[in-house]
Amino acid sequence: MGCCFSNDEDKDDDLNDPSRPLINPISDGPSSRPIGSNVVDVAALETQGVDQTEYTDRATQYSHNLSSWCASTQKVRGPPRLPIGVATPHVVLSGQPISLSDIQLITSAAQQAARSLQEIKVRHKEDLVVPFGVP
Amino acid sequence: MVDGLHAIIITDRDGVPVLKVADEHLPHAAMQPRLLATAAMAVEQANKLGVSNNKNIITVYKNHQLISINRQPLIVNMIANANANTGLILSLEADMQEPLDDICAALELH
Repeated sequence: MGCCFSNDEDKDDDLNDPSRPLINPISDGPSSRPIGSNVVDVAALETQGVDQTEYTDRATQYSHNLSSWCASTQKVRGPPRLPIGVATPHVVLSGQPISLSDIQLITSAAQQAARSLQEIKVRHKEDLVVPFGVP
Repeated sequence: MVDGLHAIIITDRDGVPVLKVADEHLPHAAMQPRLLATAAMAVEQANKLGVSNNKNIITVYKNHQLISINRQPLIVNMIANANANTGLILSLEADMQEPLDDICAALELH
């Protein structure tokens, strides 16, 4: 484009040409493109910026919408939660610790229960299968 | 996570924050509406340069860098140390596709 010995095969290189203007004033001019939103306007920030009230309202609205969405979504985020053992863990944790005698009582009771379970045996008293009507 | 990355701030196309996460090293000025609005405006204006839509804008300052990723209608701003790995930060966008789609759905922004 615009240089000697150029041909159609040079088209792919056009975008890499450092001398190529970003906007061709002829082909990309207002006559062939919609104007207004497509015009680079550096000063637009001064006139189109969001005022403080709208900024706060919009940020609050975004926060509210995201909170509502997170509460209603079924998507699992992060690892699964642990089961809730007690409703008020701080009360349990701040209470008086269990006395040593109670711990020993619980331990001995558990050991006796385990021992008893191991000693359960079937005592043979009579035949489980009884011949019925057999001469 | 990327070393030196201090904050990820997702805004709408006007720079109004939608979601943000930051550590204690984030410079105070980075959370100012002015910076986010300017970043959003830069993305919008860069779309009009006749070379297709702008994808990212990387702005490097003395101590920090601001990476703005164009995910219309959202803009993802990442603020990091100036010497943080910019390529790694840009690669985070791939992991953010689904969350960004969810945010758009939650805000009904299309």
